[in-house]
Amino acid sequence: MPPAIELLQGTVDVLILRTLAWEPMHGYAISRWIRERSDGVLTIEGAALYQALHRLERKRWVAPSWGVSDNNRRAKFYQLTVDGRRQLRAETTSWRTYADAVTRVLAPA
Amino acid sequence: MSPNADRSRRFFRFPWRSPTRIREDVDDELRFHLDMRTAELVAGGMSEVAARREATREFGDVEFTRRYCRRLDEGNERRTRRGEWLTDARQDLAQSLRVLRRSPGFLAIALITIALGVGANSAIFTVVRGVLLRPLPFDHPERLVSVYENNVSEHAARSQLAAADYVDYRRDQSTLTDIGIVGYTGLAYQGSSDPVALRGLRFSANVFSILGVRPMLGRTFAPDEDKPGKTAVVVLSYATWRGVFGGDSGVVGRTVQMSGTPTVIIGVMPPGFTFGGDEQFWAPFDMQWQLDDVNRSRKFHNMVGVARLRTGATLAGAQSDLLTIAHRNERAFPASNTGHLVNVVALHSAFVGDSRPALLVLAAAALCVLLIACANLANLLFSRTLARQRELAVRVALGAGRGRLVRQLLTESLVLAGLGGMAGSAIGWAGTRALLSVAPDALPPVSKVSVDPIVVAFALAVSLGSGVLFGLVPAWTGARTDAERTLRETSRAVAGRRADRLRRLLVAGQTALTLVLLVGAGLLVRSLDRLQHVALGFDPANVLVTEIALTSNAYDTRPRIARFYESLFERLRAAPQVRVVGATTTVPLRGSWTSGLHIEGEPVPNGPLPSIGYSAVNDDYFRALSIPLRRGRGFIPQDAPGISPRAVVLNDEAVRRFWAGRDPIGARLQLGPDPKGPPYVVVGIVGDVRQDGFDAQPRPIAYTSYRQEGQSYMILLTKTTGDPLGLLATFRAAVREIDRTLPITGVTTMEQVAGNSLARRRFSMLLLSIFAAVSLVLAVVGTYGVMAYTVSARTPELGVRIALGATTSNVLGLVVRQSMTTSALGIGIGVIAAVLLAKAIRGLLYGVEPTDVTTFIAVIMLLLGASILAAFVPARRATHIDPIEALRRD
Repeated sequence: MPPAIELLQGTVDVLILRTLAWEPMHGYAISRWIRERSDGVLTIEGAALYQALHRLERKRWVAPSWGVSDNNRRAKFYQLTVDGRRQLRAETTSWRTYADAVTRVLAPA
Repeated sequence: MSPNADRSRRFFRFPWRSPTRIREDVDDELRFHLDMRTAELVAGGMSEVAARREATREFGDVEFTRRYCRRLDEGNERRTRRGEWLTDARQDLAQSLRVLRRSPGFLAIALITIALGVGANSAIFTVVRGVLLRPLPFDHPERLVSVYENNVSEHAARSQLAAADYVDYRRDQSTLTDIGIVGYTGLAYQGSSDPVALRGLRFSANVFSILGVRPMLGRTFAPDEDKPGKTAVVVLSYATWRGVFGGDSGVVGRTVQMSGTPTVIIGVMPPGFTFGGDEQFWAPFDMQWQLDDVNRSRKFHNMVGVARLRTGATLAGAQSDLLTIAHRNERAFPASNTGHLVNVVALHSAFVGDSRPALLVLAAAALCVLLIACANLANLLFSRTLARQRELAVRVALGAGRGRLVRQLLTESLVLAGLGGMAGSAIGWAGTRALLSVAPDALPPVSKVSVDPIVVAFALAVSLGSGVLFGLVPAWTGARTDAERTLRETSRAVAGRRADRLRRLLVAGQTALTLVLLVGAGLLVRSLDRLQHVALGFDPANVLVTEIALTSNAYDTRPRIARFYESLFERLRAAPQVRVVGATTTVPLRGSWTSGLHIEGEPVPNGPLPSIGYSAVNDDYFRALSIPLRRGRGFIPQDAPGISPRAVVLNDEAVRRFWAGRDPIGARLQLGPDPKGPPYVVVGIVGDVRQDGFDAQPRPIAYTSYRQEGQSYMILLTKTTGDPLGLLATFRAAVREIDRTLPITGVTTMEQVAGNSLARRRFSMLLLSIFAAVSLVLAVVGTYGVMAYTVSARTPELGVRIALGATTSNVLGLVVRQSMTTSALGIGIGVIAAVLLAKAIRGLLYGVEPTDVTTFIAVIMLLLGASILAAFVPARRATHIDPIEALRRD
């Protein structure tokens, strides 16, 4: 397994939005989903994850609701809002542009 | 979950979260994460303890995150609440406007009602603020006081001080920083054109510094500039500087001719500076000549003190401080000072004087109008709420909470109040202007009445306050709607007994307040009526009033004064429209001068001499005003300067008071402060006149001949054949022919003098009558509204009665009787309140008792009649009920 990479704040935000595009999830599920989806390359520190979630909630990009987790515990679920979905699209586009540019620069001549 | 959950959230809102709840939520969320991760690690083979340690390590700073999230959530919560509140308010506002637009009739009535209530209050507030609340334009005006003499024997608490007494007060007091004195004066300014008469005040040199004011240009008086032998100086008012001297700043330091004396203009005061009147200049008050004259130093009263309280001193303290000195002087100088005490009052109250009680009564009356308007609106909204119960029930059924419904209904009231308030402010503004134009003389000159932001803010606050007041009760009742029952029931008779009782109480309250206002207005109307029919004792018709002061040195002897006036009388008499030329020092209704009286042969009293009104007149004065000669003769040309004894004519009241039935003709007496002064002999008796105003009983007066007295300031009363003011040009020409330098002032007519002296009363009477009339209309509308609703709610019942054979008059009686019980209750309460409150306006009444039976009966009849009328229309409708139709509806 390659070593985990610590993520920058802006990156955390867009990854969370992307994760929630599937379905509403609680914070723990989000962190697992990102870890699994990146084959363990990307891990988000719990502190950074929850700070980001509450920030996104404040920005109205995600909407919270209390539900019951798989193991029957009270858990806070987050769901992408219309604004959040729009934001995700915009950030995804700019991420792609950025990543392509970086890739091109780094590519062996 | 639905993809649109965030939108649905707006409809099915989560309840607001408290800070405690937010903390619990954050804790739960983080604990859940750590628990899940621990469980995962345990499942991977770690021990429980190690797993938890690892989960916590991975997580990072838990404490910081907890605090961070909590703070974010709290801010978020606040923003959400604000946002929701605004959204709701916008919704409510839009909804209110929609609802109100649907019922234009209701809207119009409601707006007019609020506008009247708010308008009355903002107009009165404008005046009250201008007169009573605006601080005087001086430094720390609340520390300034006026010092009057309290003349105990004459019941005159605001008399003028004598010079020597003032000197004692100033020297011996310990509560005031300093005392200055103020007196009246006048000057004639001889410029390039016609002479200009200027009214002014004499100030002791320290008055400007006591007031704490600075001149706009130049300087005020130097410390000893009020001593004898100094160059004559004046300080000009801003208006005079602009109007008479063309606003030329070079005028300061210039020497000009004032009443024949070279006078230096030393300064100009800033605009807005006035000492309680419309004075045009200030000159130094030299009182040395009074102090030097033993007969005047404590007996000649011609000044009012103005002083500033020392730090820590109070008005009461200053009063007792000066009173100690007054009592000491009373013992030391019994002949002059017995019964002459001292009265210290706040300067503001000295300026505003007696307009205060009337204004407070009017403010209270305006408040009554507002309360009545509120009661009316509460009733109106009540009916509407009841009529809208189905609509409200539907909303409750759809999930609107009671608070939400109260808010919606309150918003409607506030929208009404806001709109009405705007209209009311306009009415108030127009009303204020109308008031000022109707009665320019009714307010003290110091007051500055204008509509400013504070007045507008007041009107707004009153509107919104009343919006809450009249909106809250119906809103609350409306919100108590029992949705299920209302929707199930087809009848609209859901009013409920409690609501009905409340509405009747509102109407009764309105009736009571209206009765109080009507009684107040009625009493004032009757007072004014009594006053207008008072026998004045003279005929004010066709009399021109003009004042001429011989202030210059050319008129320094009695024969010279007499020569001027006699030749003026002569010239005037030659004019065809002149019938009689009278002249006096004191015009009837405008007050009197007083003098000591000593009758020869009677012992000189230990205390002060008895006082008698004093007036110097010309030979034709009594004829000019048609004052009847009772006995003896009036003045004749043989009453010349230098002849002793001088002639005196008494009025009836003087004979009654001092001769008690004996014949005074030929009696010898002394006038003035000195019982050994020049002798007078009584030559005639004339009828009484109202010298001190419509409402003051005639006082004893001694008339003397102006020629023998040497009075140089005469007011001419010229009786004409036609419009007295038409004589003015002729009059000016006659004066100019004799002396070009003399200004003519105080031009008016006797009828205007009479009108002005009633101006203040007429002002109060007019306003209170308007308020009472508005209240009456509102009360009638209120009664009508309630009865109309009652009849429509009772339609089925009345239908049954008619079906069972009730006659038209039965039904009429039934409905009217129901209305009458409410009105009777209101009238009962109102009569009790009016009896208690009427005493408060005793000071504004004349010749009428506060519990005047005639007024009360008239008002009660009026109110009963009005309420019968208001009930009659709905009652008539009740008689036309078709029983079959009525029963089918139920």
